[in-house]
Parts: sequence; structure tokens; C-alpha cells
Amino acid sequence: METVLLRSDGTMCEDGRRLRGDPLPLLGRAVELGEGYRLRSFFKLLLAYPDLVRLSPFLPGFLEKYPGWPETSPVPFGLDGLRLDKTVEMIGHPGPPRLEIYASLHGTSGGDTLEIKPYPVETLLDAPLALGSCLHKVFGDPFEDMAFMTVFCLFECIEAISWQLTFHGSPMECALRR
Amino acid sequence: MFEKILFATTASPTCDDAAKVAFELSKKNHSKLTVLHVFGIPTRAFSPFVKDLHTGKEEMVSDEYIAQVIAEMRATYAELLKDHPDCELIAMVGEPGTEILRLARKIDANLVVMGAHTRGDEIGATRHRAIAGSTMQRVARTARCPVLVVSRPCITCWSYFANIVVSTDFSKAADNAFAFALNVAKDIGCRLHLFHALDLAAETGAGGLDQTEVEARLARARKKMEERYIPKMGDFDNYLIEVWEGSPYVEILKYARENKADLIALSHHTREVDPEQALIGSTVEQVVLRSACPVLSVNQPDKVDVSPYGYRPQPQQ
Repeated sequence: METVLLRSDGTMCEDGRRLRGDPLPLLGRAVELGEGYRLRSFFKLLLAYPDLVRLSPFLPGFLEKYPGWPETSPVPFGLDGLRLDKTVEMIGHPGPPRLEIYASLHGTSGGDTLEIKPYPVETLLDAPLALGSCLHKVFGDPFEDMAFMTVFCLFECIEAISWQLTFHGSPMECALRR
Repeated sequence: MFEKILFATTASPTCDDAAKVAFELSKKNHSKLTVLHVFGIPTRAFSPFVKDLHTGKEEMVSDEYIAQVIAEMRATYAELLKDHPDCELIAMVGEPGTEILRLARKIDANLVVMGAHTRGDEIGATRHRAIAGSTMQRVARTARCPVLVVSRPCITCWSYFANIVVSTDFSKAADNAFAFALNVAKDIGCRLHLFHALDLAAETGAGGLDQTEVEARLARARKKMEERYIPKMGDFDNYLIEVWEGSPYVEILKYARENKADLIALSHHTREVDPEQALIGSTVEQVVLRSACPVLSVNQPDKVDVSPYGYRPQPQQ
């Protein structure tokens, strides 16, 4: 499968060359993450290739805030990093029976997965981002021993990260009344 | 404020945040609180068996079984029930949406409180399932009274809310949401943000408009809001009116986050459509899914504009 390398500086490489043109033809390519890839690299990717921003209506809002975020950010205590996983799930009830396949982004902590919704995005920017595996769920039960190597195409990566980001942005404190 | 509150629960951790809000609201307002858990669907007419909603297995239902479920509910909410000796716990078999609506009508509830999901699904999965729980959607769409959907921990107590965002699309249902939000803002003394998202992409297609026309439309929408809602404010002056351009659910969420909203109020459907025909994926579902604060769905004028507003507990002797 043809691949595209996402480098930590936000650039994309195909066949060893930096992509300077239209990124859309690469959306179906399998992604490889370069050394030191972090969530910050994802935002740099969007800045380098603005056409990709159109994949989620929330991304323009995050990019507006991005310049105001700190240039370095310690990874929140207890969080080892971020990982994209793919899930294949058989669902029988409530019907009709169906098979669903989706990619999702979550945190990792000591081998466990972690819900990252409560963390503001700016605190996650320097968390290492990795590609995970394909997990199998059957009728609601996840099978830990049924994790398979898989690939993520560029579209899946951007869409899954963007989807997760839409849940972030909660105020850190209550407002005061007048 | 609310004389009768119906808390519809799955009696699982997915409803814990909603439970805290329901019990707190009930305590503050001396409301009559009813907790309802619908736990199965009859497999056949007059059958003693039900299909359990969680496992999908058939279960024998008897009075003892129902009593057992209520005992489990009592254990689940033991801590919260300490302050609510008069709280009524009801467990029943049926289609959850139907039973919640039926009981809300029967007890004449002023407010229904519920969680957004039946299952604690991970975020990724919600893309492929119904965006939010189908029961929540049906109840929010059909209930005669306001429906408060709580899907994340509520960091501010209701009576300390500082900002309520009410989103309008100028429909009658949105007017009802506005009326309710205004009453709440007046009652607890907080700021009301009257918000409209101008969805130009939906109106004009891919062609788009030039900036001058966009500005003109935004100005027209603002004027329309001022003419429609300011006269209804009376002497209430703690409000802001804002019109943003973009997809309604995206802009509502962005605005609510930027303004530290404690509550988002909106009607279930974004256009003048028959509520029964409102599609899954409407603004309410998208907002409920992502909102950090509770979301209130108001569609009907019932329980919205009573005068004097809501229930006023008598001072303790």
C-alpha cells in the first residue's frame, strides 16, 4: 500500500519527497508517523496544508486558538501519550445486526486506555501520538487478545483526531455573575 | 422552581451525572422527585417475559423481579436518596421513550432530567451509532415539558448558573426555549445569551456569498432577534444578543464554550418541521453529544411560561 509520512514538523512526505502541492490525493494513503510525532505536529500539518482543515467544521476554530497556545506544554500527569486505534465491532442488539468499523483517539497510561475529554487541547499538544492496532469487539465484549496490526489512511487519522477534538474546549472555571 | 421532576435513568454509571443534577435540583426546589427506570421490552403481548435492554436476553418479570430492580436502584442512589425521603422510585417494563413520556404526562412533570446515552460507549463509537441515545432523542422531541440532558459532570449548581445560552432559529419551538430560558435567567439572576447561527451554507449552497452580503444578512438576523425577543424581556436587562455565521451546532458549541455557558437551551428541531418528523442528527443531538454543560430541550409552551414562574417553596416554619 502506498504510504505517506507525516513528519513532526507538520510536513508530509511521499516517496521521500516533501509534498508541496495538493494533499487531497493522499487522503487514502497509509500513514506512517515520523519520529517525535505529537498532537502539535497534527496542528502544524493543518497549517501547512490548509485544504485539510475543511475535513471538520471544528478545525478552523482550533486553528484560530493555536497561535495563542504555549510553544511547549508538559504532558498531563498520568498520561503517557495518545494513540489512534481502530475498532471492528459486531453488534447484535438492539438490532438489526451490523458490523461497525471506526478509528478513535484516546490516551494511554501504563498500558491502559484513558478518556482524554477532560483535558484542554493545549495541554495535550506535546503528548506523543502513536498509531495503534485494530481491536475486535463482539456483541459489546472487547477481546484483548484479538488486537491486530492495521494501517490508518490519512483521512482516518485526520477525521478521528478531529472528531475527538470536538469534545474538548470546556471552560476551566465557572463564570462570575455581574 | 420545579414542582415535580422526573428523573429517567438507566440506573447505570452513564446516568450518574444526570442523577446528581436531578437530585440537587429537587433538593434546592423542594420538588417532588420521581426516579424512573425502564428495564425491558415485552417480547410478546401478555407475555411474562421481557427482553432485557442491556443484555438482550429474555427475563421473567414478576412483582418480585420488579421489587428487586427497585431495591437495586435504591442501592445505586443510596447516597443521593438520603436527602430525599419522599422520592418515589419506579421500575417498569416497556419501551423506554414511551414510558418516560407516559409517566411525565401522568405526574404532570415540570421537568424531565435524563442522561444522553444508554451505554457508556467510547466516543469513537458514537459516530456510527445514533449520535445520542434514541430514548433521549424521542423524549426531547416529544415531551410536553422541558427536558434537561446531562452527559458530563455539571461543574456549577443550577442556582449558581452565571450564563445561559439560548439558541434560536426563529421557530415557534425556539420561542418556547427562549421563554423558558428567560424565566430561568430572571429567576436565578444570571446572564442570558440570545444566540443565532446563520447557516448560509444551507441557504446558499456551495456558491457562497460575498462578504458584504454576509454582513448584511448577519445584520438582518440581529435586527430580527432584537425585534422578536427584546420586547419580551420586560425589565430584564442582563442579556446579550449574538449572531454568528456557520453550522448551527458548531457555532452554538463554540459560543457556549467561549462564554462559559452553564446551560444551553434550544428547541429540538432547527426548522419549522413537524416534531415527529425531525430527523436524527439535528442540532440538539450534536450539541448534547459534545456539550460540557447540560442541554435543555424545550419544544412546547407547556411548563414554560407559568405565572408566577414555577414552584415556589414555602419558607420552612
